[in-house]
This record gives sequence, C-alpha cells and structure tokens, in this order.
Amino acid sequence: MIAKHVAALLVLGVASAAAQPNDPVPEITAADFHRLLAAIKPQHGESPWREISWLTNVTEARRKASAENKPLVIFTAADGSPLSRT
Amino acid sequence: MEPEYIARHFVPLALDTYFRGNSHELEFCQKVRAGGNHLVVATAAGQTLGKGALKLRQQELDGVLKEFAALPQEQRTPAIADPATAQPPRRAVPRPPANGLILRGYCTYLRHDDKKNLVRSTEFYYKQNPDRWKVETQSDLLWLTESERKSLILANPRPGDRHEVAEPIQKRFYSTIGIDYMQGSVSALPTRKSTMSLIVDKVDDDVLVLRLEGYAHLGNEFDGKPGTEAKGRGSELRLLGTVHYDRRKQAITRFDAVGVGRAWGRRTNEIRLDQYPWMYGIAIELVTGDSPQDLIPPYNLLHYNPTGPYFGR
Repeated sequence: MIAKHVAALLVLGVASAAAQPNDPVPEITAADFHRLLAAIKPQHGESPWREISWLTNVTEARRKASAENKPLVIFTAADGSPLSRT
Repeated sequence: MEPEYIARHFVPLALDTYFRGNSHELEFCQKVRAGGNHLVVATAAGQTLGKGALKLRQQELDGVLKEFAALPQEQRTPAIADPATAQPPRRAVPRPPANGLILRGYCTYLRHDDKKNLVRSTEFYYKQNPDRWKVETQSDLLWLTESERKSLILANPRPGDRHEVAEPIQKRFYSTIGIDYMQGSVSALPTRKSTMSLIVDKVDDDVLVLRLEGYAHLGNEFDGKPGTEAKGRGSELRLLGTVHYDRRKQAITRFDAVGVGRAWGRRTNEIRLDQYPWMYGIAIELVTGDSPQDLIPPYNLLHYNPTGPYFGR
C-alpha cells in the first residue's frame, strides 16, 4: 500500500517537473513530434543550393579546380558562413 | 538551379565572409573579391569570370563556362603554391572539439491551421518584400565537448531515471539554436530560466533510449504590448526529443528533437507583427561530421554572442 502511494507521488512529481501550469507554449504530443520534426526540417526542393557538396577550404578547392579543369564558384554571405545562418 | 549541374561543371566553395585563411588564401580571396552577400566565379589562378551579379542559374553560368573554356591552360589548371610556404592564419577557423558532439539545428516559422494543428508557415519573410520570396529554413550547428557529451549518459541507467542536463549545455543550446534565428544575423539570447531533462525510456545491454524534455525562457520577458511598441527580443521554447545511445560502441547514434516556441520583440522590417507574438519551431538532428558542411563553426561561436564565451560556464 505504502509503495503504491510512493509510486503515485513519484509519477505526479515527474509530471509536475515536466509541465509548468502557466507555460503558454503547449505540450508537444508524441503524434505531433514526428510530424513537426519532418515539417520543420528543410522541405524537398526548398533550397537546392544546400544540396550542393560545398567545400569550405580555399586551397583544397583551388587544387580540385585545377586538377579537374573547372572554375570555382565561390559563395559568401553577408554575415558568417552561407552554410550556417543566411 | 540543379545541384548536379554545379557539381558537373564547377568546384563549389562556400566561405565565411569573415574568412580566416593563410596568406595565400587571403590573397586569392582578395584578388577575386570574394566576400559579402554574393557569388563569384573564378579560375584556380584567381581570374574572375562573368559580369555583374551572378546567380546559381544555368542561364548565367553557361556563359561563364564558355569564357572559362577559352582561357589558356595555365589559367585553368595552374600549379597551386604549397600552403607550407604561406603565413599561417592570424586566427584559424575553429574546429569542433575532439570526440565531442555536433548537432544541427533547423528553424522555421509555425502557425496554426484551420484544425488548430501547428504547421510550417510559408509566409513571406518580409511584409514589404518586393521579390516576395518565401521563408527558407534556417540552419545552424551546436558543439559539445567530449566531457559534455559523456555527461549526457549516466552510468547504470534504469527505466524512469531522470537527470538534468548540465547548465552550460542548456544555456548554449537554448540561447543559440533554441531561439528564433530566422533573420540570420541575430544575437544569442540570455537564458533567464530553463530546464532540460533526460529520462530513461528503455535500457538493455545494447541500447539506451532517453527522452529529452525541456523548457526555456529567453531574452526579455514578454511585456504584453503590441508588436509595434515592442523593444527587446525574447522567446519561450518547449522541447521534446529522443536520444539513442549504443552501449557497446559507447556512442550516441541518434539525437532528434523538436522545439515549439513563441517569440517577440521589435526587429527591422516588422517581421511577423501580423501575428504577435509569433510561433517558431526548431528541429535538431545528430551530424556525423563527415562533410565540410558538418564542420563549420556554430554561428554564435564567432558572431553576436553577448551571453559570454561559447564554451563558458
């Protein structure tokens, strides 16, 4: 009997630690988790430029360009790396 | 634009505009005027190709390829000087901590649909955007050190065990990739209050599965005023995720998390003031660090971090 009470208290304790009553952002349900995980990630075809296998080292890129007889296309962003936030 | 076209005809190079390279690399970038918010096409020898503001479009790049083909071979396939003869970078690009953990974060706007489900919002980024381009998912990275990675996994886990993630990890996670960074160049937000717990869902000799739960209050508190009167940025985020750990390999093999947040504060172009506070979402995944893109530094490691040193306590 005592063990059951203790177990119940433990469950409540866990629940209250996980959810704060006045938090305005709603709980994320298990069903929503997978759906939102897919929805928030980049969607197919959204940013074709992200699918390019960008190099990030100048010397490596110049060597590859020379070896393969290709020009370099060099992408930079206004602030930081274009592969990070843009 | 087709990535296959770029791969077939060009060597694609993405650089931080505040690039820190050795003296040869800096000289090359200055010669071809790489930097800022644009695209440059150049030979390995350093001659720029094409005219005007180039874009990653075949209709413009086909002409550049013809220009390249007409160049003498020494321009197209030059010998590249040995980097050992260059002056080293004054400040090298940071590398991920050895044996640490790299997570990739994504950020986008959310809204409620007619059935009150949260869905991705594809509204235009700026209300007054003349080109009317739709929002593009933002992306950033998070680095954990080896000791921080190990601290996520308790010895002798039992189902139901719960432990709180170390405060420095929480702060770094929430303040950098837990915020709304859809505008890109935004500062990390201080963490006013947060929780982040790992709970043992399942454990056997092979696998440990942990549930990740958390909540954070970031930046300025919401003052209840309309967006047009808003001042400092702030947000709240609820987090849910799953972490898988291979006990035999002693390696985290999966780290999937979703965060749903509300954000406020006045920014340029009055983004999102038609829904105020607005909702945003983050998604987190484990990266293996195999490609150059997986190894670039997190944004706030190098830029706009008023909360203190990235690995600070």
